[in-house]
Amino acid sequence: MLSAGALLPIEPDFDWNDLLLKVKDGQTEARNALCQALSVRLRLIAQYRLWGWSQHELEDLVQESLVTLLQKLPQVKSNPQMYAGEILRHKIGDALRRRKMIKVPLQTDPADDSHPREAVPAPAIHPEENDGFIARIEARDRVDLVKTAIRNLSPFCRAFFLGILEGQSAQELWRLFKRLEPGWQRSAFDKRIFDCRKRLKQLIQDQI
Amino acid sequence: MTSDCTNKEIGRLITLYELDQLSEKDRRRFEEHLLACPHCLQELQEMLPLISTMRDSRVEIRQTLAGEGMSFAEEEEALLEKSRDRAGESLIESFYGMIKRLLTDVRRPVVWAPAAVVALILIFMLPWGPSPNPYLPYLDYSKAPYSRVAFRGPAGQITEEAKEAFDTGISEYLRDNYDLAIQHLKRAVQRAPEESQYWFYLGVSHYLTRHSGPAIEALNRALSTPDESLRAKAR
Repeated sequence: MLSAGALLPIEPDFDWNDLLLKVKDGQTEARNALCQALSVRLRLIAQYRLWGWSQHELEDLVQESLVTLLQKLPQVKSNPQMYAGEILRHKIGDALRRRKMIKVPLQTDPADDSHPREAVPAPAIHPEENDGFIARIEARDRVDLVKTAIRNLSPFCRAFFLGILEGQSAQELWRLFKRLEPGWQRSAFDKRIFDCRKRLKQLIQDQI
Repeated sequence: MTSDCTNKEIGRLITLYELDQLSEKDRRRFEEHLLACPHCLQELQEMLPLISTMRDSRVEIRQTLAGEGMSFAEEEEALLEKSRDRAGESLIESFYGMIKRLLTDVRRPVVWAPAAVVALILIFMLPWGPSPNPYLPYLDYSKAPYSRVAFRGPAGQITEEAKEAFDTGISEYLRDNYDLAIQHLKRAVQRAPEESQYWFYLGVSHYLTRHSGPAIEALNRALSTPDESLRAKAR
């Protein structure tokens, strides 16, 4: 299986069903390839779902999910990635129940102790684990880049990100923007936010 | 770089997924998509450090930007202000839009057919023919009737030829054809120069065609009539 913390490159085209058949045929290479491909995906999902958990904890969840998948593989007829995703969701639910942890929402101020929660380690994101352009930047510089990018966003996008940083929920922001543009559908709002993200990423890329 | 997103509609939820703002149902939907979409997976992986920075340094970023006058409340107010301005402008735009729509719609038979019927009715209701002579109101007498019985001048009988020219001239005069009336009346006064009534109508016809000189001359000749009422009109 995978070593803790390492992120593998993402394969552009993946024939999951073909891989599944090969694994069922007992091909070791296919089995490793399936585990590697799933590991990348499951770990990323786990990272976003369990923000602040240690890399080891996340890796354990991923490994457990893969083991369960391999055990139940004979019953899987197609799309093993979906099956693995479902297993991970259950594992995450169990883990959360075990720890009785309140998930740390983005809008929660660290200085605010109104949410009782266990002390969690710093987010386990290390530049060397991610080959993206942002990952290569020092953490201190990243803060400055984000500030500069937000300054240069359009008023709409700036308001959106500032709202999120100040603890507004997307639903609250949607209600505000509906006041600004009464004719808007929710899908248009989602598209606009998506464009804001793209712009933020571009502005950061431009600074590097 | 991986290929494009396999389902753009769901793929757009990536921002809200990263910011932990999706409902449970949408999050599940997006994660299922994520397992099958290398593009979104790569995007998510690339943005992880940035999202991490935004989460961890949220307070610092917020405070720095607030110090520069950038807070959500201020941005919100500015957006609402802009929206109110746009609402004012949109009233004017909607007026122009209405005109534009009307101009576009006018090409459709359902619009122009009733409009054409109304226009035709109005056209037929309008008075036809030449507009009335603007000098007519200045005449102190009614244009007609006139006396077909010519006054006998000192020279004696009026020839049939003069009477016929006069009748024709008067007919044209009554139809407001003053130029033709003048031609015939001139012929009449040549045949019967002593006939004051002929001169009178010749003078009026000239007056109505704005020929002041010939009008005065003809009306002066009409003043020689023994008929007091005609003389008064000629004056």
